[in-house]
Amino acid sequence: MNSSRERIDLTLDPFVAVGLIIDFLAGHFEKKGFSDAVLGVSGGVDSAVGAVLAVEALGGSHVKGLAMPAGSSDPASLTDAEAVASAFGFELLLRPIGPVVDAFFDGSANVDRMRIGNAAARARMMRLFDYSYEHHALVIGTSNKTELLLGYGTWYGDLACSINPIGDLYKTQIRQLADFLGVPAGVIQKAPSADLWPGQTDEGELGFAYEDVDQLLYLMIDCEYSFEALVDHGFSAEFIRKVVNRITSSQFKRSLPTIAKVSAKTVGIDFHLSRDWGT
Amino acid sequence: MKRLRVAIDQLAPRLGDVETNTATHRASILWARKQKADLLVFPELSLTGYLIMGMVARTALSPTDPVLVGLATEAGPLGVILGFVEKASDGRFYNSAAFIKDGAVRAVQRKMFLPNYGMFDEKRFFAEGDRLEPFGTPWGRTGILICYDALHPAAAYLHEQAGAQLIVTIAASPARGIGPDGSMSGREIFRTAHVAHSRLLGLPTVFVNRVGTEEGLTFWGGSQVIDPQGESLCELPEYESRREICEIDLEATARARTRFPHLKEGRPDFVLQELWRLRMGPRLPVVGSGNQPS
Repeated sequence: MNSSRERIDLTLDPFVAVGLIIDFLAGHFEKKGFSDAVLGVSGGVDSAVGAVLAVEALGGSHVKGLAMPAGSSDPASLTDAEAVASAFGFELLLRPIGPVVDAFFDGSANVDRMRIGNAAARARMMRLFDYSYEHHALVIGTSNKTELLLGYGTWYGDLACSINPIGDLYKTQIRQLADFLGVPAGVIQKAPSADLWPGQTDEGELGFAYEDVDQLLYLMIDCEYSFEALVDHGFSAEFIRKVVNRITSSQFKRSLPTIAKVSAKTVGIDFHLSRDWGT
Repeated sequence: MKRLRVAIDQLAPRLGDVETNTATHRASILWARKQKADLLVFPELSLTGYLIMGMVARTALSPTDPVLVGLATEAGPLGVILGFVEKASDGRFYNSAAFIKDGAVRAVQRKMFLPNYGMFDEKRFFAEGDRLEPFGTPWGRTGILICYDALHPAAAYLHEQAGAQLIVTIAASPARGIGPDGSMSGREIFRTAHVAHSRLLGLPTVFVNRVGTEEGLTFWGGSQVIDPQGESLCELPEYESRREICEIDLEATARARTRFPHLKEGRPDFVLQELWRLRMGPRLPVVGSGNQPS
């Protein structure tokens, strides 16, 4: 990677961006007849920003955060989640999923950390949607645009939600808005991690830094730069290919399951109905 | 008429719920009549919402439909511009605006330029209009543009040449492209277009954009009335459902056109000749294609 390449300013006017997202959330909840939200609060910056936006849109008494540590989670994550909840005035409920995952794999052989990680993400999803049903609360997703494009998330796990207010913001933009919203600096600055096993970091696992991949994704996706134009801009061909491969191979995570077309009108192909019909 | 009292209502329609939206329109019409407005303007597809997609046929109305005639009756002497899905007698559907007054639909303007890129998919569901025509009103000839129409300079020019003294744009423009400096590309392009229309064509423009959300789209509102000098007469807040009355000095049009006689010097015959040559004449060499003699 060419460190001399021109850096693109990905910052957003925070008043405009935050105002837009708050209006979007408030409008969506009102239309759907929900006043309460629930989300997983990990202690990381994405869920912190998601929670603060929900509090701004719905009020702190209408937002519940679930802290769902696995057996391997760093205890500091829970401390950070508590700091975010107390700073922004919403209740944090402790719902450990370690026993669920342990029971699930009891007696299983060849359980690697990817299987455990996926099971933990899906156990959290079950907790959230169970809470959603019990308390008539919509599940807020907090996957960011970088993760969504790279497919860095568990299908039907942390990617599952009712509504996602931050899915069109790159990781570096989330950090910028977090700073604007007053998220504790320690939460913003710590190394992003799915916290699925000790010492795991996103950037270690992905093999590149968010600062770099956000620049590449912005030019590739938002500005539609060609491969040649990206190389000219200073990205290495290897880095570009790696990212393109991640995007194309993870498209299934961003789509409904493929359905074999048999009839004249097929769900997911040519049955065109807005999910907001009638609202 | 020297002054036009125009009411602008940037509501958020319920998607697909024509009955509820009709009631909302009726309430707004009663309000505008109490305010002694001459004209009330609603946003694009105000009776149906925007993301109608495959349900176009279920929300479409013919211009003689009792829903439209009923609203026109409520309107009485108030002129009302609203957005609806038009069901044509040949079975096609249009993204249209109706001008209703005194118990009938007085004019229908179909959307000419259907956006079909990025998040937009209008050509799949609507047919393109093929006639842009201002209509007569007590305050002079009025031309309607529907959202993306306003971003095609030829459309506003055609209205001017056809005698429009007021251009009304109704829109369902989603917020997008937020920059570091508070800019938002969806807003900047419409602001630029309307100021340009007003100043270049020497007429007032009314822009009414909806608010509310549909799926991930948030419509930004920010409706505005601009005088022939390009100055803002009235501007509604962004993202909030709001309605307001604004007065337009109709005599400012003549003054503006005296100072800057764009209409007089618009040369439609020359434009026609050049368009004819471009479309029907010998194929012009493409610059940089390598096919030109060097």
